[in-house]
Amino acid sequence: MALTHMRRTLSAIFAGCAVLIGTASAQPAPLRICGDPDNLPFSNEKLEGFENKIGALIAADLGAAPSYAWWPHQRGLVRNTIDAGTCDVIFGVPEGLDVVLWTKPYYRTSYVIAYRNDRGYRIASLDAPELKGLRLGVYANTPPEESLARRGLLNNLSLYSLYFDPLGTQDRPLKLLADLVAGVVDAAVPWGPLAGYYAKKLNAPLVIVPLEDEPGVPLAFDISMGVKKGNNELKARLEAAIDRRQAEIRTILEEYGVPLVPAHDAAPAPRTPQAADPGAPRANPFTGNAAMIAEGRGLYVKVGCQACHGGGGGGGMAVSLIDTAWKFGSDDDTLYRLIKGQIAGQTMPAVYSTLPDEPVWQLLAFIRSLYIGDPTKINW
Amino acid sequence: MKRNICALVAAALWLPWAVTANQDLMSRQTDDNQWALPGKNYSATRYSTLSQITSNNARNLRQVWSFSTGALRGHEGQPLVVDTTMYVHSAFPNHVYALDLTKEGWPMKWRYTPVQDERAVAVACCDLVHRGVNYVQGKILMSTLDGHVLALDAETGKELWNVRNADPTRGETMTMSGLVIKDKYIVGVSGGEFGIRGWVAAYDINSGKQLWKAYSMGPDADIMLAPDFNQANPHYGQKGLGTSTWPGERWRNGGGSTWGWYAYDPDLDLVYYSTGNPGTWNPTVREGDNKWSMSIFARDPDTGMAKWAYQMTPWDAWDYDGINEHVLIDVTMAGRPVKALVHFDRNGFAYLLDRTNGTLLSAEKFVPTTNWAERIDLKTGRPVEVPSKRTRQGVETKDICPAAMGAKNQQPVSYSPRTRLIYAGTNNLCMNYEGVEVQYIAGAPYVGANVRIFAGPGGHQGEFIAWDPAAGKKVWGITEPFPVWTGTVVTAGDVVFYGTMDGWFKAVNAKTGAPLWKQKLASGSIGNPITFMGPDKKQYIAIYSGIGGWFGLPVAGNLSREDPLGALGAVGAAYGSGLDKATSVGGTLHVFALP
Repeated sequence: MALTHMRRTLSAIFAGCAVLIGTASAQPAPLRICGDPDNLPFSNEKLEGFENKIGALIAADLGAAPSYAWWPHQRGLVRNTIDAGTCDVIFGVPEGLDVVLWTKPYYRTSYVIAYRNDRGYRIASLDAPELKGLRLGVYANTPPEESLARRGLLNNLSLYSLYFDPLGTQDRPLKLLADLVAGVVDAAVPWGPLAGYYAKKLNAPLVIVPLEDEPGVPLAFDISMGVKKGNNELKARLEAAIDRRQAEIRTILEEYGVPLVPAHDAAPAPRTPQAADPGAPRANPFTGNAAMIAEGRGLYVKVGCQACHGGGGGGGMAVSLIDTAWKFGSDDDTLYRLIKGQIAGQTMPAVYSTLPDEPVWQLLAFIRSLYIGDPTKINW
Repeated sequence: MKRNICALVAAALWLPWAVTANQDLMSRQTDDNQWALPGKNYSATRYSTLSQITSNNARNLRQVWSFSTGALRGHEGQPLVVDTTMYVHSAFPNHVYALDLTKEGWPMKWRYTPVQDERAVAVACCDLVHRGVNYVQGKILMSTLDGHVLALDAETGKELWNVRNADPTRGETMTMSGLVIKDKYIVGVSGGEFGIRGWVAAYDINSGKQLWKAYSMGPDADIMLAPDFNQANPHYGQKGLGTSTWPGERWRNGGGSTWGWYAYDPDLDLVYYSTGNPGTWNPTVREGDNKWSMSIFARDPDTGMAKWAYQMTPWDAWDYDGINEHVLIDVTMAGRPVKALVHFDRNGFAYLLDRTNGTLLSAEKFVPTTNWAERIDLKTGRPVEVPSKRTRQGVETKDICPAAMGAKNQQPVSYSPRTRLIYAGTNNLCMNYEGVEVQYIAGAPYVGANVRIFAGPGGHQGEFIAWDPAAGKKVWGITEPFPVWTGTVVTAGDVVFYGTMDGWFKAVNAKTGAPLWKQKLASGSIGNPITFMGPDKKQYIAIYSGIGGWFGLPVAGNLSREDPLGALGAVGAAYGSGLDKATSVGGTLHVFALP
């Protein structure tokens, strides 16, 4: 009660200030962007990145001036910026980052195969036999590492860090491209915008081949703007601006060499619903969906569920998933929170907390398909 | 004998702790009134010179005492008897009881239950077992499921020190007993199904300080190779292989857990143990020998440096977890005396090595259905594989024998110097095995295979056998409907004891294999029988019952029958043979004697 009261009081004070400043300066309200201070080609403090340019374009469309709160785009970003109230919109949010509310995508790009154009390779896909004899640079823990591992190329990989390390103990992300140009690695599977920037803006002699998703491994991503969950008003204004500025956005992206991948023609897989009311219990959008159950079956083994719950869900060191006994409850929301490690006193290790929502629902769709208990007890 | 003990006592007054600790156990290991070391003695023969119970009178054995451990999951390992106190342990939560054998009913002197991180329960691979405690110089030393090693005052049960050896949030747990050598408590780690990188470590018995830690794989400095490592057998491999035999940096999650039974040769001053399966079970993603998973190690217990290592199953594709015990015996081969080490591996071969330098002298199939390899090439030390039985990702390779549970699991064998035979509980289990893609997530299972397990040819799932180690031949065997998952003990009365999953405890003539006696226990047994002399000068035999372990987990966990892949394949195997109808859960220590 006391906290609610204090929060209300603080909002009132801040609201008052905003009105005062607005009145005094007679300037339009700024578009407050959460920017990365040092992450070219995306963004930097000198506003040289393509997201800075798109930010200026969108702000102008909305009749606002862009203002920046700087925070590196990595762990802690949302907590320290949008959630802390220092800014309102993050540009360049990939699908899957569930801690913010997405706008519709304003472009789609992918991981790419990149190699020097004087090497004489003719590599059109990750299945090219030529790859077997090459040293390949990839960013550690990115989907291409997995795609290449699946093809038995683990021995060929040199791993690079995708993250800016404030302690300076690791190389910057562009090191991979520098090594590629220098011949330290023969080919690479980097994130497309980094490779495109190197080729287009720095005139590196690179061939760039965009990739499409593989079964179970996403390689292409929709990129959206992200706002605070619940800020539907700003989301709507930004989406209107995206619609109006589509062509100019594309021009900026092309200028920076960002490889653009067309959106899927097929009907998109249903996305994880973003609950309008954050308090409402979650429900699995994939229950009974054969394609999602098949995805879930693969994940069930891949992330280790079968080791404890049994290859067919019959249990082992952990409980059976096929009968009527559910320790904490059987509804979707409870099982979602169990997988995410959010149930107090749960014995299942809280190691899947970073698993995105989509695979969690795919897993649950598969688990539901195993049920052989009393049909009258189904509450999902 | 008396003069020797006087000399020891006199020496103890002068020499530093390091030596007295050793002398305490050196004298107790040869005193057959006691059972003071997990394997009876440092050679781990599980042989006792006690001879009140003989093949002539064993039929008169009676249960004279029993004791509930207060825990329900599988009870592996054995109690200790030190002077006139018995130390009993249990499955998780790892209770310890000290019982006074001088008083009627053997009342409790104390009981102790460690405070544990419950998160360990979810990352134990195959039931919540424990394999027993150690005694040295008035202390009880033990491990806990959540990865601690600790010391108790043997008189009061008061905790003396308690340190962390393993981290359950990374899938590391402990179920082993370890071994005390000189002033060091030497332990390993479980977690081969969680992508750990296995190790052994030595802790100071007085302070709990870690003195050394040697990994199973990784850079040579981590594995701690002595400069003359494998000098006698360079073809086994020497430098650099802990990383170069793995793709990329897969060795970082290379498995090679170390939770088996350890042995020690005081003359050579070498401790022996082996490493388990490489991670993941899917071989396709880790092409290479995967050294030094699946290997027998000999190390200097003071420095931790490895003198030799021999890998049994290079590039494992079957989960033939190599942790099984070693028995140190002296044999005569081709007229020549050999200081031997005998190891019954899960892969179905009984290995006999020269324990001074690791030279392989023989390797024979102790379960004849073994079909993944033709034989072991004694020159190279490598298996001659049957290509159609090598598993890979995305293909269900069928009818491989033995199964992942092994031709023998962890239950230790015994050796009688009177009959010169090894007594072993074995499995007749085969499997279908499919490697599947798996992603490493710290603290999550990293198994990557679906395994179906079933009885091998003949339909029985187990056999208790007597084996001539010098000749490399089975002498006799008794088939059993279930895998024989208890250890064995053999005595100078020429009686050998073993138990069964369906709860029978049996005495057999050690020379002929003739059944002498049997008694039904409260639950199926996967424990190790021991024998000792009570203060009343009577010879006793003791064994735990309490079904569980990997094979028994479907019953211990009351799992449904519908999923044969449940419990990593144990559901299909255990329910296929009706184990759920044969026994139920509960830990009890049973003690037997003549009337």
